[in-house]
Amino acid sequence: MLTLADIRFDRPAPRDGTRGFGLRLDGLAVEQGESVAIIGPSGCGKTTLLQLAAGIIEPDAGRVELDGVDLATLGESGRRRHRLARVGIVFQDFRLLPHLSVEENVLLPFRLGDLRLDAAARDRARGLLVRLGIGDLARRPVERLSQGERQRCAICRGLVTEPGLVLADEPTGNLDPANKRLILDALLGAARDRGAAVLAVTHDHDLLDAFDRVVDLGSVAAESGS
Amino acid sequence: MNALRHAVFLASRHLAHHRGRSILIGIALFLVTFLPIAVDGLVDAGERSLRSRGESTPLVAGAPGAPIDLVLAALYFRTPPVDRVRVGDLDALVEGGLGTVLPLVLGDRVKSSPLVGIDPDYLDFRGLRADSGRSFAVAGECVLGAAVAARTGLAVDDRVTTEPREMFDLAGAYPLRMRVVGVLAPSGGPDDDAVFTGLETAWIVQGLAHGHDDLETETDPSLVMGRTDGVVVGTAKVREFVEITDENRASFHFHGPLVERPVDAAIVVPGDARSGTILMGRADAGRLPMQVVVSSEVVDRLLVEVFRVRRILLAVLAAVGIGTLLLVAVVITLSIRIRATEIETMHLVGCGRGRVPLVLGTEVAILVGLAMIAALAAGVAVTAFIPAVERILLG
Repeated sequence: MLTLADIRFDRPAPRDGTRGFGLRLDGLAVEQGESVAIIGPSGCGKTTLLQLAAGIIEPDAGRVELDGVDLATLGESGRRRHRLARVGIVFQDFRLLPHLSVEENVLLPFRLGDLRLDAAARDRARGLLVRLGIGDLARRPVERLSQGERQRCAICRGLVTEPGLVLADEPTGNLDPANKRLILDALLGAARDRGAAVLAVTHDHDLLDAFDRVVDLGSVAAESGS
Repeated sequence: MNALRHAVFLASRHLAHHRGRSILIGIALFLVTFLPIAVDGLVDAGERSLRSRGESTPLVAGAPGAPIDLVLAALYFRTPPVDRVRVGDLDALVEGGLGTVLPLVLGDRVKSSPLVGIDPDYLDFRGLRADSGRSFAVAGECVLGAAVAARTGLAVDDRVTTEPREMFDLAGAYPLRMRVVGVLAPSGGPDDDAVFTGLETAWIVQGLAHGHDDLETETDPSLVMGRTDGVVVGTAKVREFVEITDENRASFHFHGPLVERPVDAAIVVPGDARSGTILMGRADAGRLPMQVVVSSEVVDRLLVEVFRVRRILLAVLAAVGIGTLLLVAVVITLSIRIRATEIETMHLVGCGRGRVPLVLGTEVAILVGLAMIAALAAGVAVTAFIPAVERILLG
């Protein structure tokens, strides 16, 4: 499903005095339907890893393969198309568009590229909303949702295109303790139902038991600071 | 096509969500577009109206003074000139059968419209015919222009009362209650917004004639102050009639001969070109205390000034428009900066390269498009208000 091999990614420190960052990773493979938690200290490259997996950035060296396709062989627009069709992304801060309703936010990926927004896509969106317990909020503006409801909406958006891989950057980071387990179970359950792999960055060690595997990036990756 | 459809959807949702900002930008764009269209349209329509009215009115006679005031009074019945001419002077002007004089007595109002005292020939001269009822025949009758009838809902056999010139002038002429005997068909000109009556009625309204209780046989000392050489002097208690009826019509009388009665302006229709030249010569020679002008020439002079003002106004509007567009551009640029997270999210999700600019461009296009459509519609609609604008500009 997803393979990262011999990855080297460096960004030098900018002139404003802040730290540079980088990532060294010999290898990481995620199988179809598998859920993997990425943990590690701040600055170890967790978010960078997700961006590499999504094709948002390119490694300085090494190979990123998704569904057997080496992302380096795709141009930028190719990587965008590949990402839109095959990767779902769930953000810590939800990143919902405030001017759209819940259902419209879920269907947003279909309005941004070549994916076809048809009845099947709408049915899938409604099914996901029901599956995550916010089916009755479909027409509500996202501004009127609770934090937990917003994250559920964001998870629905990440899954609506039936991606093979879901990338989640601290999906429970903005939630209260009571909601964290519920939301994570909802994400992993919905992804599992669709056979999607999940690669999630998290700082919540209490939730690691929900994942099939845990990768401590602090121990497997080399950090390059300046 | 799909990309555009989705862009329109996202753009319209964003504009609707920020409706306050969208409306303000829309109004700014609307004004920038509408004002030049309105100014241009109004001036063009006003020019056509003025030129047409001027060309259909050969000569205008009146007391010496500003020719523009005289012509506008004769064409639009607004604000009569300060000085007036006498009926006798007008008779002298066309002496020898050189032309026809159509006197106009102006200055009073009925239902906020000008009351115009005319000779019945004026209606034929302008091609005005009664849509209902008939033309006035005796004193105390009037006919309504089509717009007046439409605005007030008055019809044949209704009564209308003239408006007092001075609200607190207790010694002034009494308002006169007149009977509506006809409503004119629409003409598309200022005649539609006037109330026409005979010259005698107009003079009665101005207090040059009146009717009251018969004092010849009256002996009541509270009504008769005295009698001297056949002249009866009445007291303030004598009842003046404020409506001319069949019963009291005979009591209405003028104090003074017809030739002395005042006229604010007169349309003069010369028998031929040569007669016209002679008529103007008579006035120019100073033999008569009046001026005679060619109305189309005066209108042309007025239009030169109007066009000059239009050029200045359009230049000012252009400068204001450029400033407004720059402000709108700043607002849109700042709003794009505020939306940086939203735009980044679309890129991260996998948005196509041109989609974000397409959505943003569509938002601007929707605002500009709606403002343009509204401006054009308002520009067309404003032509419907040209008579009202004429009233404001020429009143």
